[in-house]
Amino acid sequence: MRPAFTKTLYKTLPWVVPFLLLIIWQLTSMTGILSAKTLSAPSDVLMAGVELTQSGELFRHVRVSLGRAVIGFLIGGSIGFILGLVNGLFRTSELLFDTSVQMLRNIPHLALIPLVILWFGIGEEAKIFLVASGVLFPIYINTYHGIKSVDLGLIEMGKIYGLNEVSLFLNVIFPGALSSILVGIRFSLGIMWITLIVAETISSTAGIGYMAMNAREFMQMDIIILSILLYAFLGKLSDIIARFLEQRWLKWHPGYAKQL
Amino acid sequence: MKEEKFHVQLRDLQKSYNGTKVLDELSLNIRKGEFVAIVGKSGCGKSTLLRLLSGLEKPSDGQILIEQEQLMSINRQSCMMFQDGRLLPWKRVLDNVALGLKGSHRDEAMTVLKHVGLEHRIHEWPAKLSGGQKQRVALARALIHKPSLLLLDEPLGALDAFTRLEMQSLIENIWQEHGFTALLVTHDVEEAVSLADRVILLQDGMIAQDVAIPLPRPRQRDHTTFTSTVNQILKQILHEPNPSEPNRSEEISYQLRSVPKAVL
Repeated sequence: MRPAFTKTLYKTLPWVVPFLLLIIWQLTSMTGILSAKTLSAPSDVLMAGVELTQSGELFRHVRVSLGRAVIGFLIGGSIGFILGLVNGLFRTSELLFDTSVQMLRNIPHLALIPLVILWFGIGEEAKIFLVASGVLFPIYINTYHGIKSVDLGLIEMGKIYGLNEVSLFLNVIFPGALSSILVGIRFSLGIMWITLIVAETISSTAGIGYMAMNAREFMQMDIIILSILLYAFLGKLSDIIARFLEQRWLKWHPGYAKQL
Repeated sequence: MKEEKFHVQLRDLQKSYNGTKVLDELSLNIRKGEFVAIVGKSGCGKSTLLRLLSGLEKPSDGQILIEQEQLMSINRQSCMMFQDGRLLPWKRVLDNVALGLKGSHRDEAMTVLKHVGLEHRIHEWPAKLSGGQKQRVALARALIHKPSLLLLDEPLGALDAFTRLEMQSLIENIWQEHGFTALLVTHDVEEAVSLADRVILLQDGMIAQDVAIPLPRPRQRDHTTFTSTVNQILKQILHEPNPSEPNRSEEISYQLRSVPKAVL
């Protein structure tokens, strides 16, 4: 009975503070201490959410944003992954490309916005380009570093036990680099959402960022807050997916096995 | 001499790294099925010798002949056991043992794991095993390849005394059963004398002593010949004149002198 009680306590305890804050927020809004011009009441935000869901508006915007995020991530992520893989594995390629990639990496990708607008206009390409260039480098660096830091002793062992180059890669090098690659992916997912928020706020006709900017023009505080919460929710969701992958693929790792 | 066919022949083997000689014109013949132990201080070149024999590194000069054929690349006949086990942490015990084999070798892997007494842990991750169990898996992984030459690079160096004794008798039993040639590098002279037919003392890249151990197996560690052999080898190791010593003391006094400067 006692351990069961501790378990429930441990599960509920982290939620106490957010729940209290929510109640305080609601109460101060209802009593007028917190003006509706500063922050809408949680109940209003919820209502706005329900309304937009019923009209299908919410779904449309989320789908557009999610599409941009996923396409940008896939393009940037694959380029970063392949480049990191090749540069980590082959010395010639490393000499040829690594310095250049490291130089490009130091350009803040959001600083490219004026240039991107000139290149692509304000269409989908611009947003996808920005997301892709944001996620590329963390995945590149972590893949490259992951491969470089694979235990040389294991590679040596693999050679002695007759692994050819392909099976050495599949059995030793890639699994050895995987935890680092996943760190890169997790990091990139964060960058992916931040980039998208900025890109969508600048100019778009759909997406969560557009929804927020549009609401600003009409002073719809509840929809602005709803948009912010949507971003938070999607960010958390992608983090959960990344953690799920870590736990699934790194279950051999004592550091990951005991989580959950 | 010429008539006898040796399994491993080293002829004037030399290896140097950046001009520093690690092995110096080493010549050695090992018979098929022989258990040879190589002892020596760290840095005497004993691990380098194993790496050359496995084909991981190439000699700077001289030849390695395995069954009269010169070793040019990775030695396909040999398997190596390392001090740190080197199991793949992302593969379960069974898959670690079957590493490098084509197709499914579940039954064979089971057989060798039974041999080393680990058949009940085939689905475990290596991280969950003790040091001794990891080395048992490493031994099984070597055995499944049916090597004619087993290279052991201080495989028991990181184990506690009790586990080490257990592993020594396991290795001895398996060696007697399979009849492969074994080459054990160790810094534990007692281990060398209790396992090997021949103990070779390596000093500064050269063979300083080559002692045959004709004692019956399993060997009694309190046997007088056993202890006297161990002591004789230890004496040689400890009392060797070390030419690099004066240099080192010079270095230390130089460092001492330079310390106050650095502080100021």
